[in-house]
Amino acid sequence: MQVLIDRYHPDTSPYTQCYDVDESMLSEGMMLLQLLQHLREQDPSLGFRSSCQEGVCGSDGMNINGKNGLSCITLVRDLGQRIHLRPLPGFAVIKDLIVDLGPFYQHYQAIKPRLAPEPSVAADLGQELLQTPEERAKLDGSYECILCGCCSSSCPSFWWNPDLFPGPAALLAVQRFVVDSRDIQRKERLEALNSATSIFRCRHIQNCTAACPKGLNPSRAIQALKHELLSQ
Amino acid sequence: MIHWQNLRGAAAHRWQRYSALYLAVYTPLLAIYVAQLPEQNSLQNLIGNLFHYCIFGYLSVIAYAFLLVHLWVGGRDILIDYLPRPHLNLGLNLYLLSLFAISLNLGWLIIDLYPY
Repeated sequence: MQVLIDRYHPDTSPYTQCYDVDESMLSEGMMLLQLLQHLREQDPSLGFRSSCQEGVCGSDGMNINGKNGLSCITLVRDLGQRIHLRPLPGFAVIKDLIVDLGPFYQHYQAIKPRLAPEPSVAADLGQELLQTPEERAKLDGSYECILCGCCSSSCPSFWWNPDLFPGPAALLAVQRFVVDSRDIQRKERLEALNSATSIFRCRHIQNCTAACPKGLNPSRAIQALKHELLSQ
Repeated sequence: MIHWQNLRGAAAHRWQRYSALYLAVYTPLLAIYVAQLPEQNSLQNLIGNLFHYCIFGYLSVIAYAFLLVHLWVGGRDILIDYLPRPHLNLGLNLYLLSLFAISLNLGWLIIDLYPY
């Protein structure tokens, strides 16, 4: 088996390095991250991020055979005999498979991803904000995002306007608060998106939905947000 | 002057949908209208018939207005995506100017050829 990795170091030109892997060391349920850790034992200069190793922290997002995903929940056996790993597209590469997710986090920060309840309720920390089961069910599919960046980095609209277009992850987070019955800033959140360079840059090609390793549907959330904006 | 920072999203999106709907209805009507015309017909007669004998000419003017709206919203979105940011305002203004110029030219053609 061959593993090709797009390597980059600020002091050298980018290149693709090929690692030959002895298949006898591969176990049945081996994940790609384990393979990368094995390669790093051979070559300590190889750079990639990882943390929880179980698809929760979202730190090991990368482009795997042309599709963005998390290496820790990607089975090696499903990737064929030739695995090509690249850093997440659309972000500046820091080193090898490590990208600068700063712009991605800035967009997330800009949408104010925190609940804004009634001031009287917010002042009383002892008061619980209750929801009906139906109201709570509306949050399903929008709060589970782990901010790995796989969706935004697969989105051409984000590649073209990374400083203006919030990207699927941030817009999914907006949807999470817009549908939340406890949040009172619904109108302000929607109005903040009402520009030609924000949510309406999305063309619903659904790369984000295809790339999401958690099975979420940012494209549908963006469509719902557009519908809400147009209904105002 | 158009500034990309001032361009709105929802209103433009809404007008693009309205214009698309109108054009989707208008275009088959235009095809039916043209199919009923005599094979040998001058542009002058065509314009004269449009505005003198039936309301289709006025429906066509509305269609052209909606076509302009559709072209503007679609074109500006493409320019926002593809033009380098320092040239975006210039590109948007030139594009809008070219739409106006084409409209003026078409208006002049209709007035010039109107036989009545």
